[in-house]
Amino acid sequence: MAIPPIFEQAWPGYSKLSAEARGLAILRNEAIATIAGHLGVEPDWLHVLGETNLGFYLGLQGLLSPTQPLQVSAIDRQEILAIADSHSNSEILSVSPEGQILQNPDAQAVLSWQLGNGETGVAQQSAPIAKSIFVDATHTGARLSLPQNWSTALWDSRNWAGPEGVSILAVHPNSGWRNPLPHNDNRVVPGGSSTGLLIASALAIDSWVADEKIQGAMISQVHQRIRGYISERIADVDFATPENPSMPHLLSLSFLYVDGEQLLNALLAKGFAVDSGSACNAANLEPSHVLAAMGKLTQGNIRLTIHHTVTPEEVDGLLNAIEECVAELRG
Amino acid sequence: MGYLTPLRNALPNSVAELPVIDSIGTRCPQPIIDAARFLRTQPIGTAAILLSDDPATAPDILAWARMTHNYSEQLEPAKFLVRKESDF
Repeated sequence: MAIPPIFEQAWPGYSKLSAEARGLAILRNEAIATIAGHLGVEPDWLHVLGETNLGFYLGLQGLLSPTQPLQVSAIDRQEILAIADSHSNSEILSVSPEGQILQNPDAQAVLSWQLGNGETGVAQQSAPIAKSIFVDATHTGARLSLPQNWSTALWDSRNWAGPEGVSILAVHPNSGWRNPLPHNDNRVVPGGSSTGLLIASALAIDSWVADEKIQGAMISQVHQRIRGYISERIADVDFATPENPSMPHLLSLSFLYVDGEQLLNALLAKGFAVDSGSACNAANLEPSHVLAAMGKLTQGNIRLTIHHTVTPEEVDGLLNAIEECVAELRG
Repeated sequence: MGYLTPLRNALPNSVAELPVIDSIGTRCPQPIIDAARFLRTQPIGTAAILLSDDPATAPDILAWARMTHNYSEQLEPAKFLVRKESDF
């Protein structure tokens, strides 16, 4: 595989004084401006991170003083639940069966607000209420815009089919954010992110947004088709994804009396790669905390991701495979 | 808990005397299959105790009851009450 030319240009380090470095700095700024434009925020507010999980800590902890109440939700990512665990004054908000966060408004609190859930495709319909709001946009990408009153926000480049290892942290100038890491300058993120990957991510978001404009309606139709076919042909199915979801490229559903890992492997043997939130394997004893929080069936769970490139033939093949595999596994 | 009061009153025997489905040591979805297999052969109204130490049983036995129109309740961390309320 060829290494794209951008990595050959990206060696100097953009903060040096050479002509190459200045050229690279311009490319870097353009990349940030491109991404900012698609995400609907000012380029000056964006910071590039090489590690998404560090972004959860920076975005949330930087808003929080030691005794301040912290509210997270039961469907938040493990990294955020871990931050809540380590904070002395935290509350885990439960969710409705539809995955909507049941808020307990506190004018003093810092709130972790998951814009959309990467497992079920549920997007929050209400507006968040708190003193400061960290928005987890790592599963929504360029699909959904931030709530008006956001303080900090985090995206993951993989969401727009960009490279792994590029995350974008936004810090609103009025948020009162302070760097929670040891520091002796005014940098917001530790640095060390790859300029080559950042530029690749900017190209990816441009092309993802263009594809979504053309293919977005097709993805909704495929979603409805899969849902309709399975509801009609297979008994005892629990859909974790609500009808007409805001993120129709995701579909999470569970089959009663079926082992999720066996179903995953059976589908893989037929050429279909899907994910599962079930715990039916030795590596992970706990079922998906998202499904459990919503009161959904965790066994026999599969998560489908519908890509821009999917064809009607592939959908037909998948539906047949699911029907066959579920029937076989149920005996 | 409020649900259980009329149920307990309607039962001839105490919870301690109900038939026991022992699924200790088995992993999901086996405990739910065990409970469903037993109740399918019983008349409506039959209650039983399901013993399961699988972490997925607590959410899944509730989802099972909702989906199949039966009743379930967690009594202890590894002990559940199930009751047949429909032919499923």
